[in-house]
This record gives sequence, C-alpha cells and structure tokens, in this order.
Amino acid sequence: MAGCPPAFFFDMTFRNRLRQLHRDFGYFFFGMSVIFAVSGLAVNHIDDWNPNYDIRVKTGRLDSALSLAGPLPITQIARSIGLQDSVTGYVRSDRHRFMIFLGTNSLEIDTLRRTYRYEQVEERWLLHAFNRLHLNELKNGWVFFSDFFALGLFFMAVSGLFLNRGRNGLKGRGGWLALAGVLIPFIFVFLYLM
Amino acid sequence: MMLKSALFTLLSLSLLLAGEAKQYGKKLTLEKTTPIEAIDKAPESFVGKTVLVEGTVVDVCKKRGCWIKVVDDKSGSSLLVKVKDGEIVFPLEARGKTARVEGVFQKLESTMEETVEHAKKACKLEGKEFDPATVTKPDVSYRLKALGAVIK
Repeated sequence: MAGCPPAFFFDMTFRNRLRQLHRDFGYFFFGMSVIFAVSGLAVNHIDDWNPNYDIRVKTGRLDSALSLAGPLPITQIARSIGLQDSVTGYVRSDRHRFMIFLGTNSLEIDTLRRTYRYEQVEERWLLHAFNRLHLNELKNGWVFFSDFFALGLFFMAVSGLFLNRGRNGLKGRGGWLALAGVLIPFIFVFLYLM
Repeated sequence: MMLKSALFTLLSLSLLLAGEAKQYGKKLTLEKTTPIEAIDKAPESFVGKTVLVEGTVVDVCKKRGCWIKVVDDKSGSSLLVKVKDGEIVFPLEARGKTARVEGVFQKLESTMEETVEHAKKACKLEGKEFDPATVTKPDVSYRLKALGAVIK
C-alpha cells in the first residue's frame, strides 16, 4: 500500500470540503435566509396584522351645510374633512355611495346617511417587498434564483448532519433531534391533513 | 450631466410604463363584455358561465391581493372578483383604475352556521353588538373567479 494515502485522508478532505461549501453557501444565502425568515413570520400572522400596509380609517358625518343633491362637491367635502390629498378620480360605487380616490388613499361617501369613511394607506415597503419575494410574485428570473436557494437549503440541511458530529453523531443526540424535527411536521400532517 | 439625462430617461420611462395596461394571469380570450349591471340583475342566469366584465376597481384585498371589487360606473352595480391566493396578486394601486376581467361566475351558498359567523365578524369589525335575530336565512353570494385580467 506504499504511496496510497490512508482512508481517513479522504474522509478528512471530504469533510473539510463539505464544511467549506456549507460555510460558503451560508454566507451567500444569508440575505435570502433573512428575507424568508422575516417574511415567513409576517405571512404566518397576516390574519392578525397586515404586514404589507398600515391602514388608518377615519369615519364621521358630513358637514350639514354641504349640498349632496347635485353633482358631488368633492373638493368641498375633502376640505371639510381636513384632507390635503389631491383627488385622482371618483366613481359611483353603489346607489347612494361614491368612492373618491386620493392616490392610494380613498374616501367613501354615503349620500343617504351623509357619512364618510376615509382610508389612509401607507405601504410598509420593506416588509411588502420581502413578502412579494417570498410569495414569488415576480416569477421569471426570480424563480431560478429561489430554486437555487431551495437547493442550497437542501444541501445545507444534509451537509449539516455530517459536519460537527459530536461524539456519537447521528447515533446519539443528533439522531434523536433530527428524528424529532422530521416527526413534528408528520404529526401535523396526520392530525390535520389526512 | 450624464446622470441627469439618465435620471430623466428613467423617469420618462417609468411615467410611460405607469399608464400602460398590465396583464394578470391568463390572457383574455373573450372580446364582448357582459355589463356588470346585467349580471347584478339576473345572477342565476350567469352561474357557471365564463364572462368578460369591465369596470372601475374600487377596492383591493389589502393583505393578499386576492380579490378586487369592480364597479360599473353608470349603474353603480358591483362585482367581487376572486383569485386563487398567490396565482394572481392584485396591487393596491389598482384602485381607481379600469379593469377588464375574464372568469367563471360562481354562486356561493353558506350554511346557517357560516352565515352567523360572518355576521358576527362583520359586527366585530364595525364595533357593533351582534344580534342573532338579524340572521334569518343562510347567505347566498356571487362572485367572479378570475382567470385573467387587464388593469389600466
């Protein structure tokens, strides 16, 4: 066997290479991991809190001096409520209702009840952008990059099992933890999806 | 100087693109539109049919962009347009713009329990107290399940 390196030499080299690749993938996908983690939390709780827009609603009664009999006096209505937004359009949205568009904000007028509902919308642009990336709204080239990220995650998950193995590796605590992590999603599948 | 002209070109291009029609989902195949007012007056006769409607977008789902409310400017009749979550995402900027939507008209029949739950939620949102006596029969609603849309 003279001239042949011992078997552990291949093992060490392979493990070192794996470690190096795992680390490089980790660095490269740092940004993507943060985006998907943050937006994952945001999308999970979307029913309780809107991560895309901050919406403020103001309701009230219209000034009794305003006449609603003829064409809708939009400017006067906006002024009487104290709005500074410029009107971008309006439409009759129901028999007695008008929707006035003020950029991304809107003002709904009920001519019968003489009430208004002003909705001010502010985009939470960073979170919205993260969510749009996470939910793959962009399609096209983004799909390739997120596919690459998914494959990278798969590689990191598998290579992670063999890096810092500890004393017993998968035969010890590592194995039990990996098994628990696999079992939990399966329990949910059996309980709720079957 | 170069930076200024580059910025000017970018601005002009974005202004030009802002006024352009944007396609969502599948391409529209129908040419003749069905008035929303006609659907509103006789919804049963349109159930299961594929129609093309046109109107102003008055509201958009602000959480998932999964529905829009389209209104016929003349009659004030409205139609709820629903899409499968994630398949088409309508932007909030669609409000006030004209939408041409093609889709299948659907009838949704709720059970009494679901109707009560909906009414409870609506009261909670409006800050009113829920009175069970106000719910006397199960809810029936109609919507257009969109296949494709053009908004401009």
